[in-house]
Amino acid sequence: MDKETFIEQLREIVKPYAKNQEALAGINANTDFITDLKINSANLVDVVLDVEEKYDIVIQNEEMERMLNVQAAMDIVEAKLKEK
Amino acid sequence: MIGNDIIALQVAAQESRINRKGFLEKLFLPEEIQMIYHSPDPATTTWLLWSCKEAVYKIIHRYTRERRYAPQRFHCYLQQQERGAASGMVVYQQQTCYFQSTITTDYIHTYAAVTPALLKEMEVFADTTQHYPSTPQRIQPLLSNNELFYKDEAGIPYILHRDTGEQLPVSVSHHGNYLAFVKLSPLEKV
Repeated sequence: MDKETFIEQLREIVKPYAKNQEALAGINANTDFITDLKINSANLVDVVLDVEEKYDIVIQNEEMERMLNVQAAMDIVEAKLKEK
Repeated sequence: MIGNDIIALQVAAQESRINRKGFLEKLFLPEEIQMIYHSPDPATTTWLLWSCKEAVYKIIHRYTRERRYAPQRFHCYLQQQERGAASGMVVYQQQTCYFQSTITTDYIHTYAAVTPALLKEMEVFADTTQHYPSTPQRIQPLLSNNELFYKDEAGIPYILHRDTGEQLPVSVSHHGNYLAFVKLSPLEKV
């Protein structure tokens, strides 16, 4: 999966939780879920669960710990899909 | 060090589906999930435990400057829970923190500190009546003229005392229209 496709898919996932619409419009690899998109910390788990469902993967706690931005999410999903 | 977290319960109910598969399992430890299941009010207990983890995360973040989404590393131990209040401890690795929570039908406010003495010493503010714009504009009017609210490069908030040049930690939390913060008075340093 190429980077652009992933970011587009992720944009759809985070849309319901993102409070900063401007940051959502400009989402890129460096976008931080909490400091940029203003997703509240209790909703970050929804992003993790939605990503698990979308790609049919299981994200471990150690991976979730660092899933704070788009790049980290992409790295985790790519690694998981490769394992399949 | 000190930390705090406020949760607007109606907003939380709209924003999160705590019954969603995997929600509790990713955020809480098995003993905490049991506590939630056995509670007469599972939603309130969920948010009480979450506010404890968040308040203590702010303390740990102040020390480590490391951002991590690792709620299961924070072990909550409720010691007392009565109508409208709860207290206990949260353990993160080797660090024990102590918390006190106020619980109403509208919100939960938890504040925490690294010692029980510090927990008693800090000044606690919770404003659930006003609708203010963003945080710095909300906080400054609630301080004395002598106190200047600011955040460092890592986004960690402090109050600068203009007369003495002393910088003291402050922890700020907002959710929905609710704002809360806890601060230390000068002379009562950590």
